Amino acid sequence: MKSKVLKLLWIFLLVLSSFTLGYTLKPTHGPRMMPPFMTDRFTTSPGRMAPPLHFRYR
Amino acid sequence: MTSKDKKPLWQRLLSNRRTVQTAALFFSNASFLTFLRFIPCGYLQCSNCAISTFSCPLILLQRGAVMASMGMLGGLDSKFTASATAAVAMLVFFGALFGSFGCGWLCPFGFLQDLLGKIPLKKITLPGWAGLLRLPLFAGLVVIIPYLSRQLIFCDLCPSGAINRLWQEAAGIPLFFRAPEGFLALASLMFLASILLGAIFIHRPFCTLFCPIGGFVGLCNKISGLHLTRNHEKCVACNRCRDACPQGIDPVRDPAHSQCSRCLECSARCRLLNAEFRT
Repeated sequence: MKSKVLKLLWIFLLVLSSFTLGYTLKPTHGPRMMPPFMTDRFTTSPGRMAPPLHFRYR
Repeated sequence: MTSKDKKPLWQRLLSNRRTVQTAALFFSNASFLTFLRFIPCGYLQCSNCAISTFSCPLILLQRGAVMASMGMLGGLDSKFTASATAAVAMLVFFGALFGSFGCGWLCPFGFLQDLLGKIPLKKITLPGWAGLLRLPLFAGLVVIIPYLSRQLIFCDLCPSGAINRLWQEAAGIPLFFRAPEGFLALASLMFLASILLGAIFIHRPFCTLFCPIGGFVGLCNKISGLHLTRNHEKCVACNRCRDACPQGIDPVRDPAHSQCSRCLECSARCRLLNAEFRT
């Protein structure tokens, strides 16, 4: 049997995470949306490159 | 045995774990379901693969850390922030509902280690504190080092990712993101080889010692809806459940142990120990 504190924490976490999921999960947010500079050179190899200066990803 | 001791239907359906794991392996790698890729899953599932159904939450978090280090994280409307937040939310949601159930029943890499563990050789049981490394690894390899180095360092070393790269290169399928190069490529292959070798002698060495997701959802076992209950009146502490546990946990003493992968082998051995879903 869970204590009252754990039960409250459980409900809080469930509500918070489900609301967050509802807000953030959108079909456009998958890894397919990774910008080109991250796919190959930027975060992967030791000789990584900086993103273009004008780059704003939203 | 009285009819009261008989397990409910859903528990009897879950009595064949291998079937569920095989089904989960195909469901997690189904090319016709890749439109679900925007959903992070609650277990380790490499998404550096053209046929992966879900996203691995760890790559989303690392990507968020890399973008944060460049000052490009933005608000919740930014795709990277949203996907990293969704990854955390999914881990919390999954953990709060099912604890580490995904590790024992759904994780493809855990399944592979389970199969290797079937090789009949003498097994070593790791102590209960062996899993304490997993949460520092979560913080270090998934958040801090990607933030500092701007590299997806966990993915570069992940043995599940190494398997994905190997079979895709063998099949001639292009990788979804990229592969590590040089030392990291060698290190990931050596890590994979040692994990696979270790899985013959130790029950799920990667899950027990290294898996950041397992560390997180294992912690949620304390509060998860799915938990083990024991019939206190009839239990005579015969320790059959403890002997059945591949992790060497005593389910009677600590049914919510953080290293428990909810494989429910204990429940299958003893009818007085049941997995129940309760708030």
